[in-house]
Amino acid sequence: MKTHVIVSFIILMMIAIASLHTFIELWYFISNSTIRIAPAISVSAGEIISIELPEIRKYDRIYLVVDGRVNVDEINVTPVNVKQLPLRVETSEHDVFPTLISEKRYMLIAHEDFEKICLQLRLQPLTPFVIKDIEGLQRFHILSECSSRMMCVELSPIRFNSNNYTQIAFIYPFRQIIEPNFKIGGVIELVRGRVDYINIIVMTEKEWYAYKVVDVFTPPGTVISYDIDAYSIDLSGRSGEFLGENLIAIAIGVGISNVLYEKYSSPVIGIGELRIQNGDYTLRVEPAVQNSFTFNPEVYVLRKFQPSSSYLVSIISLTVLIVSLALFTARVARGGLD
Amino acid sequence: MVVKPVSTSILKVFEKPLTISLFLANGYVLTVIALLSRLSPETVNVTSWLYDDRYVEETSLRYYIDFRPGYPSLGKLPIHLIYLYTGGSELAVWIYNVLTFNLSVVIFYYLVESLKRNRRSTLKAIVLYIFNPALFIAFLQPHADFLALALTLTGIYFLLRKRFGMVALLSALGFATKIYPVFILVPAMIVANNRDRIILVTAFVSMVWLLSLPFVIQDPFMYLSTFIHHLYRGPSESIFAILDGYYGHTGFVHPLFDAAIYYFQFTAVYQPSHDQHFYYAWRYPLLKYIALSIQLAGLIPLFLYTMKNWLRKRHANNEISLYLSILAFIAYLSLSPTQNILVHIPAYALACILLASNQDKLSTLTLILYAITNGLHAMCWGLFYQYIEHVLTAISNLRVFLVALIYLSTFNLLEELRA
Repeated sequence: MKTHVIVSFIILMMIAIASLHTFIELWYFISNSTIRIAPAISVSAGEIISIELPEIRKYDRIYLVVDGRVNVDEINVTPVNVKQLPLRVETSEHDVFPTLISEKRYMLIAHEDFEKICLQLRLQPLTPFVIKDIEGLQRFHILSECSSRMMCVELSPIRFNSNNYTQIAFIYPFRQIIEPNFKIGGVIELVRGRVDYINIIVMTEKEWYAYKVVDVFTPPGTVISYDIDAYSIDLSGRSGEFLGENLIAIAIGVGISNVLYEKYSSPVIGIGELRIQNGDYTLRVEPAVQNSFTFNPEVYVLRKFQPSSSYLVSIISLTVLIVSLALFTARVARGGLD
Repeated sequence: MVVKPVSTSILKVFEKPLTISLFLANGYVLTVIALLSRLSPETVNVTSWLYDDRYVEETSLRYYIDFRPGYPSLGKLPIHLIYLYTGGSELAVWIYNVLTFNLSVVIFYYLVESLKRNRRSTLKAIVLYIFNPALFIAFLQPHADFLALALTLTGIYFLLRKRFGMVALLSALGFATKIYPVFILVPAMIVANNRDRIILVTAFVSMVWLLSLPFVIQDPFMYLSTFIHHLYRGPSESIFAILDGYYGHTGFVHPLFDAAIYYFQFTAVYQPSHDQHFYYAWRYPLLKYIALSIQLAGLIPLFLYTMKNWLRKRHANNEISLYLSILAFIAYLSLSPTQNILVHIPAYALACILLASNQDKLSTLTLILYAITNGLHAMCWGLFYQYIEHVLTAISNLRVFLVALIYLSTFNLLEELRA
């Protein structure tokens, strides 16, 4: 019996030492695995800006977080052997959640070691809206010169959804509980081309309520004023159901079908001021386009673990010891060593 | 030589209670799903849940090394292999689900039969088990719930026979499938003597270690993230949901590429926010309190009952082992942040076994409370996901008809056999 205890104790001590060695190595990695860079850069729309990153090792992740209103047109890395991961959100095509409205995220993976690496970005002008694809994919171009008091955007569909539509949304984040006197109003212009629809969408934590203001028959050059309140009827035939719900955002959704896009050129839409009234609160969102602004990205270099030879030795030792202990105790339990 | 007519041979097969159980279970589940696929085909889309398999293939990432999936290796890799070798064939996933479901029914049957050698009680337990709406949701998803349940029930089967080596082995396999079967170890550790406890722990640790070794060698952090991310997931309901600001990766509100970083890096790139609630916490603010109350209401009497029995007869008999294992599961599933309708499947199955073995008011109450909580969750999922809404509507419309049909046909068949 005494021998069993001594042997077990020795194996346990060896396991403890091997575990401690492994733990120290892993802890050292954890404490040095995340590097954060947060520069403040004055940018002009259309110019390429460069952010220098520290030494990158193979499979390290470069994680970029920018304000939701910033429109990143292009991401490049020099040298080039870095791959960008596509943005998807599990089962949903709709990534319009509060967390994904307030920030845009990008991830790149390095495929070789680099001593010096540069992250290059080209940005579009800054607007008050978060511009996001809801269905399919559209390239957009924010135009500097347009109608007075309007923000104009040219839309070019790239990929249509399985329903043959693509929809882009201009989202204004606004968080309040919807009061009975809730009202939104504004102006929209179909400057050029045609779209299948432009919907004003009230996004709450529970539901989206969409109100059509422009349809496929609306000719170019039409200016539409809209007012939506609790009495307005949405596309699903509901009215006032949003009262008391938590509002996340007001959005302007523009939908284009592939049939329409083949027939007409890339449409240009103008978004005028947006007025929001809720309880005692009123807000007027001017569609100002800023060509020069301060850009505050957060760049994270997230290290990827690469097993060292000492780590492998520790793991193999631990495996041998753990299996030995299991076999030994099983044998003792059966009375094999009595 | 006397040749028996074919009809007699078929009837002979149906004389076996296990065959009847399998016939009943498959008949009911497959009929409902067949009707669903006819009534609303968009609801029966098993492969839509293979989004992470598509993502890792498209981006050349490797599970457990570059990308953290939602489940451990034995749960995820069979589905991933099906995806790789059949190109995500719906039929292949169905076959896998049907096979694992049948495995769970067979083990369920033998477990109940070993507790209650009564054909009618066994059949009743099977009927109760298959009437869980969560089963259809499990059938419509390429996950390993039935396999995990089969391993759990087999573990309990061996626990009742005090074969602790097998309990350790099955807990380890279950842990590497869907984590929760590890909780069989709780009652096993209580019931076992000191010698068996040592066997349990060493056998379990070494099995888990060996199953994890291929991944731990390459990247221990990504492998660990598979397990730890469940703690970081947003609260679904029950006790974690009442902590506002408890946040984490629910998946639904995160880019998929967040699964390509380690859990401690994830906490660095996200600020804590109450927006990180599980999605239906936004939709039904009261649900978390209702669900927690119902779960606690079911848990407390069961706990007291189990403790009373246990204190009376220490080193308990089989029945108490069963109570303890059920208690451990229910405690875990009631209070876990990862609770959702799919992890109700084992708790519900165990509550059915408890009722079959016990046939008292307390067991009935436990099952009823679980059925109510289950229904609440199914509703919430249904309202969020259009297809589950269709599933539930179709089930509620068809249920009365199907129940009557299955009962009539089964009991007519039994009567005929007896005659």
